[in-house]
Amino acid sequence: MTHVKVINRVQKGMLKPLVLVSLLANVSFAETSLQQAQLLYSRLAAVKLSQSSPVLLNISQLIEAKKWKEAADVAIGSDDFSNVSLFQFFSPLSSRGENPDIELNDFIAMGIANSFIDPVTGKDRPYTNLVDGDFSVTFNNTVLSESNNTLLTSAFVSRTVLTPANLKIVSVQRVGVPPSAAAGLLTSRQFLKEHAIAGTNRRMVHYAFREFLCSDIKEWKDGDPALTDEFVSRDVSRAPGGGIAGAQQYQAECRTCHQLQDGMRNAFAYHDFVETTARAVYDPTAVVSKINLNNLFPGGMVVNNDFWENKATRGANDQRFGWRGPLSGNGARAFGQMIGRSFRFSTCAVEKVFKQVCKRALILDEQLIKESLARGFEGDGYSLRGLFKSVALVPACMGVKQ
Amino acid sequence: MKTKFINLMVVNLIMLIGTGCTSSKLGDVVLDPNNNTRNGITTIQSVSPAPLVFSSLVKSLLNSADIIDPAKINLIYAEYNLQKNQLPQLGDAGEINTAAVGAIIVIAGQVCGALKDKELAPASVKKAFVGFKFQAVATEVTIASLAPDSVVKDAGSSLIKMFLGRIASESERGSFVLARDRSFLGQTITSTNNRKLVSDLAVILCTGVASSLEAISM
Repeated sequence: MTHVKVINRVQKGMLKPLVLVSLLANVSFAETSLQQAQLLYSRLAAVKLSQSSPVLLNISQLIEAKKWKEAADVAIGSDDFSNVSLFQFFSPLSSRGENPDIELNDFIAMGIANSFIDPVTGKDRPYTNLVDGDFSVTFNNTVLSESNNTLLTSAFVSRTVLTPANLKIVSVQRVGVPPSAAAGLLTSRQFLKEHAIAGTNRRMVHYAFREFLCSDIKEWKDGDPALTDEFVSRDVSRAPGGGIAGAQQYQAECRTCHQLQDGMRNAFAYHDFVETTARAVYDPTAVVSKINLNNLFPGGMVVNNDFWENKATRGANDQRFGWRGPLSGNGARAFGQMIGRSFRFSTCAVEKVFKQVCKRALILDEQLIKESLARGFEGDGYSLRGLFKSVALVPACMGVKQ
Repeated sequence: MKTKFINLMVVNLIMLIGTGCTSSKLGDVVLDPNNNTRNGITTIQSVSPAPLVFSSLVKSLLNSADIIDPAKINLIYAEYNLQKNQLPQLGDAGEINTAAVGAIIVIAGQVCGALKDKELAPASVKKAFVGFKFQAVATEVTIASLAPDSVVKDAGSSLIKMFLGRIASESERGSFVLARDRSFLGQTITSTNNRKLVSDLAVILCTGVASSLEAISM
């Protein structure tokens, strides 16, 4: 099509759709080492650099010398990697809307800080910390407020660069929360604010599985008639709507999710988020009242403590999750250990990193690549930075010949 | 304002045609050669999820244009904050609607305005708009004297290098001349508006490149 024809189309009122098409047109050229350097950096650090940037020139020279790993290390060692790429990695995990473009909160800050090299050991901290670690962060040596996010919001608004110097890990998550009840990001203020506010704390399990096992409950519910229902709580009607149809609905639908979800939500029986004070609270002396509210079926489970049990262990679920940790226990930490020690935890991390770096989802034919990366991730001490690097260097990722 | 917006759209269109998106290169997404026509217009289909990361948008554009003035940067981020609700929340090209296109163009336009201002300074080292008569005298009232073909082509090459990181094709270089002509169409160049028109032209050409998917995708 000639340009004149394009202009004619514009004049006929087809301008906006045409522009949309132009935005959808995608070409990424990476033929020279400088272009490859830009591609590698932008995929890992999520930012493009100026063509005259010394960092880009350095990466370019490393690529010319066939030192791809070292080139990736430069990108991963940049402030952009921590402040943009990791920010984008953790932000969708931190909100119910799974939005990648939100303000900094303690969940994201903890995720970023955990990815900094541990100054004591000189090594990366394990990604598993994020689901079973008893830690929080300080910003500029100030402890985060339990009732607001102002400190981090201010840092975000002023575009303060987060570094190991101003964002530090501290070993106790919150005063009054024992190690057995702390589960990294799962018990962060932000996660509780999103998923323990109102409701019945079931969302805590729902989203722990969504964000760290890449599995929505629609996928892992168990419809086997042989599945028992002793964990289904009393706020679940055994015949929603009444009659035989309601009873059938309970058997066919309600039970298939609630038996699994309710059995595990007890891990958060002492955790709550109080809307009026905007505080995450933990009280080991009393189960959160909302959990046992609404007695629709007196014979249903009543939660008396934080003992939980995983019933998503049968058939397809056993294969799906590859459980290797505890399948029952008390409190959030043991629950987090169950999540973090599963093979699905590792493959989920691979899927998320692959999608971010390679800008596409892994396809079925790439199952072996996924599993190999997951094993490598585990062998590398669950280093998230290492996983980003490994994924970027997979030939199927960027299509760049190395 | 409306005229400017349409001019930007025109340039964006020309970028579509000019980028010559016909063959898969290293780093490309997988393209379906049998599915490259929409409403009779040849284009390239992007796979989903598309490579769009909008929170990286501003930083990448600022880096590409080497904008380092804190005041300008603050203004551009302020504009981004105003526009961000129009951008696809999940960063998926499939979510781009007209409002999003507008938002991208506005943000890119702000960056390009800052770039133009930087190069407007007499002592500045010009990287994008070499030869543009930003300081035109009263007698310079023709396109040929304000921004001749060769100057516009070179500006196009510089902008493509700056924002897309690659060499412009001859076809693309030519499309910038066409964009200039469309930008000036119907306007009378006078001794009082000549500088403004050149200045606007610089922003228009730049915005066309900086708001293209190739520029905003990673």
